[in-house]
Amino acid sequence: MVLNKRIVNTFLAAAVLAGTWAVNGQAGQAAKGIKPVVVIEAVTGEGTSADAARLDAFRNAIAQAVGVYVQADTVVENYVTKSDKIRTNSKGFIKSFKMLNESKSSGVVSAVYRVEVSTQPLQQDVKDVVGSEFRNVGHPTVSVVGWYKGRNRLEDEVNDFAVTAMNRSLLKRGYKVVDGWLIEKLRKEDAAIVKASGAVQQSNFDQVAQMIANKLKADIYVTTYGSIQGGKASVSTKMYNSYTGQIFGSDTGYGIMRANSVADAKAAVATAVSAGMEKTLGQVSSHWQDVLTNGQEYIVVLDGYKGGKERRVFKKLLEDGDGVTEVKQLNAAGSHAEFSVYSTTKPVDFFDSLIDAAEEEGLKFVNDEAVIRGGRAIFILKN
Amino acid sequence: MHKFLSYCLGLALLCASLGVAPAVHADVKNLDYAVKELETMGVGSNADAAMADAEMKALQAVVDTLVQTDAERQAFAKVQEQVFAQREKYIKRLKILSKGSSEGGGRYYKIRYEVQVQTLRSDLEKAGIISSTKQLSSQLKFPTIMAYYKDPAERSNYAQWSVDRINNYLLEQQFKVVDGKVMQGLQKDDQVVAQSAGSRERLSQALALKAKADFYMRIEIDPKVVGRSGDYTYVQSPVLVQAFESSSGSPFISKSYQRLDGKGQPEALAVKGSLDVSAKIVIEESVAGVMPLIVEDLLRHWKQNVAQGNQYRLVVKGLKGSQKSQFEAGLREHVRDLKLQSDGAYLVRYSGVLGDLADLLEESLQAKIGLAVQQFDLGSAYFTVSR
Repeated sequence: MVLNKRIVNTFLAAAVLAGTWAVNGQAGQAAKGIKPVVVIEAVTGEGTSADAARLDAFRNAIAQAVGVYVQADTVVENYVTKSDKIRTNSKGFIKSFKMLNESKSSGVVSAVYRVEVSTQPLQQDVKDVVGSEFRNVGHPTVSVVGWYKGRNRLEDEVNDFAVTAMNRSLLKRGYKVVDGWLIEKLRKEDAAIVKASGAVQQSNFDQVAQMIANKLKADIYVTTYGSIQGGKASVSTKMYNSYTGQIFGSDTGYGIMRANSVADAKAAVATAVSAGMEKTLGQVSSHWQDVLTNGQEYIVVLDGYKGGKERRVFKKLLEDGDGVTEVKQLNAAGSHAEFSVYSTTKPVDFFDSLIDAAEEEGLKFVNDEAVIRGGRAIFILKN
Repeated sequence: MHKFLSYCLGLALLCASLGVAPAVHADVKNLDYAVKELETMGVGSNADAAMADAEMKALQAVVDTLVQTDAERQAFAKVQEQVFAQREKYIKRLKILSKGSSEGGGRYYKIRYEVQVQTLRSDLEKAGIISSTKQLSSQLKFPTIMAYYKDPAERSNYAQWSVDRINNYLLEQQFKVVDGKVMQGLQKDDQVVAQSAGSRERLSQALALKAKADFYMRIEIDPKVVGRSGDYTYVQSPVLVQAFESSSGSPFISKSYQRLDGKGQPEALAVKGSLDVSAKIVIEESVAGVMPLIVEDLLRHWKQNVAQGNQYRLVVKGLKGSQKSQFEAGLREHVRDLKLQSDGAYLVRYSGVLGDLADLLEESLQAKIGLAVQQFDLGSAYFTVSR
């Protein structure tokens, strides 16, 4: 990975950095203006015919595109519900589309599309229908990964169903949702993820979910674990920041099965999902507002300093960095110190400007670079 | 887990011949923390006056858990009359538990009420009497809490269910939490934390500090099967919760909880289904019962903690004669509280991070006594003196 002029060695976590790109990329991109097209790499639509599935996919893509520029969940939801154009002629907002996959099960067609949404007519329609302007920042990209090793087929279906329900709720509110089809593809084709997926247990499958989220540049990842036992369904949902792995929300919802069939199991899961959904979505929204306001946390390591003075100079540089809202010294011993830094600036720009500023203060780093390892940026001073 | 199940089965057999304890049927629940049930005794010259007194006492009991600081109490005093006048908005009578004539000729009533805590809290927030948890979180920089079951090294289902339920509750209350995987990762990979293994107390504090938690919390649940009838197993589950300040390791909450019936006797949960499922319900019910009792204390301590600062331990090597008084004088300029320990270390209270305090001291005392920071981590800072 290249930081403009400098090369950053990505020993272990290039994907982690890529994940952060997405977080800050949105803010940076919008600051330059509204892009004419929003590309939704994969979006699923469902319907009783291929045409109906395609139109459903278009509506979902439009909701995601609006969500990129509109901050409030309710505005997106209101707009998608109220706009006549979306109901009758959503094609007017679609610049191009390509079908990636189509399947049919129990009379329901499910189709995955790559869609390019034109923002100009959309911007106008949002203003006409709900009176809201496109703003600088919008919703984050969320990747929902369900537990995929159920004890039986019913439990697998329950987990698929829980993921679909969560994705639909996120879509309605304008979140950019990583399509389940893309996640499944990655889990089967990416060598590192395939390896990690095979050995994983229910208690630690969030690690696989984090790998997937980073690979797909999602800002937030959500894990769901549904189970059916003793006539009861429970769905545990946990939400994490993709870059830091910090948990910021969790909930468990329950539902009772009235009889012993797949349909009853699904109904119980639907109850369980909806029981926790509002709380869960509130937590996602609140976390994202926090990230937008206070920035993302980076762990910055300074290695090879001589004496407290050099460490303090480096700390001052961190504090003076663009978009920095908070710097905390976590520990220091010998010539190694760690800092927690909250910044709203893209990591690429932030680290690059830090290297430049340090040079002006007489601090030179080995190879003029920062090393990104396990989600930490390590600056090694040249002796 | 297996131990518990065998224990349950054994006790169930033993208790089968005994009378079944007072019980409520428990099933998997989507929890509602917005209401609180409580009982109060009211006295008055007649029945209406006694019932009004009981209502006022019930409302006052909930107000006391929400209005905590002197400033909040002063603000509430101004609207108290108004809030109590519209108490029917917050209070619902569930059951008259007992009634009768008092010695002075009046009447008494013991009543169980349901109080709309969330509505009351929300009204007090809107009126500016108390800060919302969210506002508080923002003002106080989002405190982080690390919860574990019995021992931070425990990996049982009990541990997972308990910690998940506690974290669900705390996240809902706007706190930040430490996920179980972070605790596991630190125990596996962090050398400093690994040095603390072997002592539950030291390991808990080290983990909390490494995970940047402001507080840590231990929960212990001791389920006892007290009877069985048909498909139901009757389980009592006393819970013990302790909370500690990460910076000092000092406990500040120690609470036990047992659900009680109308007569004040321990109430059993009647749980249906396989024992495995039942165990989960028992654990989750117990956590759900105790957490609302804890959170008010947690908030109160958090406010105090911010006011008085975190506790840190400072160790200075080679401090001689007048250097000691110079160091202490320099230290007093920055810290709120200073105590010299028998081992020569200083315990201080400081409103900020330890690294910043260490730097301040080095900057102000290097020229005077040659003070230099050697290292700081896990709430302790070590200095050397070179003159």
